[in-house]
Amino acid sequence: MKRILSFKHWQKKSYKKIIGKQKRIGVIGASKKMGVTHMCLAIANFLGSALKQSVLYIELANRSQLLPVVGDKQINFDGHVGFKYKGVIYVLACDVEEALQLINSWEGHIVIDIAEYSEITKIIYSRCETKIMIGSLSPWCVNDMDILIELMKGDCIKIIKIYILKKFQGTQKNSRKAILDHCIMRERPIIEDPFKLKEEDFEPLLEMIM
Amino acid sequence: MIPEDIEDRYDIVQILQETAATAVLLVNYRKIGALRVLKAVHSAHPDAHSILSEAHLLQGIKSSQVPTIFSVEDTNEMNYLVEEYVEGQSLREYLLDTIISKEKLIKIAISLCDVIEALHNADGGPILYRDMKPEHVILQENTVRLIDFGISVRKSEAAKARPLGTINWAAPEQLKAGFLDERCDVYGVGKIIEFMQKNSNARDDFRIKKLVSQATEENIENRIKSISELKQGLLDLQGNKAKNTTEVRHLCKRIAVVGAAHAVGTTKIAINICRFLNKRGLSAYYKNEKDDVVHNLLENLSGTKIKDGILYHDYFKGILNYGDAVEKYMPPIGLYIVDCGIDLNQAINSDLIIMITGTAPWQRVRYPKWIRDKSVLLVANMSTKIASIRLAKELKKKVYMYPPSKCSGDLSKEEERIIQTLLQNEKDIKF
Repeated sequence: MKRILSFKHWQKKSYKKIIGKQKRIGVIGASKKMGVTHMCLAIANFLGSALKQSVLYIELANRSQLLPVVGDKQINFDGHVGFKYKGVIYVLACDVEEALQLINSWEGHIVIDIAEYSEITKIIYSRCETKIMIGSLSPWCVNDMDILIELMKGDCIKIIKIYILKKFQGTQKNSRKAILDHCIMRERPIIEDPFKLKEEDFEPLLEMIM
Repeated sequence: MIPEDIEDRYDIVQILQETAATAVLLVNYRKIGALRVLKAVHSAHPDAHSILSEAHLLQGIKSSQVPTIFSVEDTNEMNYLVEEYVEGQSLREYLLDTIISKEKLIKIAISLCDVIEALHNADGGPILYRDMKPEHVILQENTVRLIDFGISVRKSEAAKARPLGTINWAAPEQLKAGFLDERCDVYGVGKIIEFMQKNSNARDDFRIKKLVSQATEENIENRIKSISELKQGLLDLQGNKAKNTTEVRHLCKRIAVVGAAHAVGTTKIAINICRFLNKRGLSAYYKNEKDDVVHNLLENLSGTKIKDGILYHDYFKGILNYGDAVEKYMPPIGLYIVDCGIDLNQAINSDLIIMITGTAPWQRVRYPKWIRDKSVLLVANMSTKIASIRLAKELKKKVYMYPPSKCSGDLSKEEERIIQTLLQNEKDIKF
């Protein structure tokens, strides 16, 4: 018999929490190629297409990676230039100043794809209600994660959600105590196509943004 | 002008049409004793080349509903085209002494759409038929065939084509030498449907009238955009949305719930009908294409489940309107309770229309012309008995009174009773 997705554990509180309150969700990668953009797209499309919410996607970066993908239909809103694709509005290659303006004025959910954590971008990250970090505990990446956590100490490390690419048992044991002390680590969900979500993707995405 | 150099091969059976330079003959092909149509045009005639172009056009069409070309000859004096003689009765002849049923009308119309679809999808680019009229539609035992492609053109050459066609049958832009595309044939098929409706027992069927008016819209921009769209409209009328099988046909019935005004309780009643039918063991799905009603239910109800794009809650099943970034799910097979809001046009293509009205004096209520049709049921919600009786007298139509709802989520006995009464005459719905 096919499994029926049941959201009993969250539907009473969490679902309403998501829809009723506009959220800012910031996602950052501890190392390069952690799939930050992929996850941001999945979250934005989940909010936009599955939950029918108003969503703004901010690509906080000097150069846009998404323009060839989502840049077909340009729109202007509140003095900003954006692109509408599959129900989500994208503001690409956005600087901190514009991102702050958007955060203050946008009425709806905002997903912020942060290319790099720095003194400047942390202003935006700290304004997010949901802070997500994606990293890896593989030996060649774990140092990047340590460095980023060190940088975040005192800022927001206690409320951050850390998602790791996959469990790497050997390194996990030896990883810095700080990681395990401060944060709960979860395995990053595998979303096959962020522009073609499946119902089984909904639950991990919802847990992520809650 | 009867050509002289064909006598060695053909016996002339009948002269179908003759001018000084052209002739259309019914001939007997002596070699095998078969009837053929022979078209001959004098080489000096301006339309001499049309025979060749007709032959070229017909060759690219993959349909058994158009005549087969047997030979094309080009002599010094004459151009000949020999094609299959399509036996049967023309639609005009047939309707002279026959009143057709709605089912037959739709069947013929769909078959006509099939052949036009084949023309529009022909190898080498779309062909515009341009000459739709009842004389050219030949009815055979189980099929409909189209004849006379004399003025048909490729769409790519339509701009250069002469403004030919039959007045009262051809699209206005065709006769005025305007921009031509596939929609001129949509107009033609629409006119044929209109002609058939006048000679059918569905003369007053408002759904067919609506489809005809959309297909024969004078303004090309407002007309049905393609023959496939017209065909889909006909299939919807046939109640044949899922597959052409009788097993699933009755299961894909559409019941439209539409409000005569805003805030008359259309959504609530549509949801309740859906719950009632599921409670009685029928698979009924609530659908609202324009608003996010089902998403709102997901937000506000507890104990919901989602599977394959459907929200389940107790006896309620609602189709979620996911956006473009979510995988598309196959629509379920079952009864569709379509909440149309106040969109009468959306309701019109349904098998049964339940129109919800209110009788409050501050409500501006408008009733369509088709309100008296027997497939439309009128339900007064939040109304007094006296107001409902007045409305029934005014409209000369039975008005059902929807009982006042209780606050609890369950359907009251009175609500169940009225829904059962509404649906009791639906032969496909057995409680």
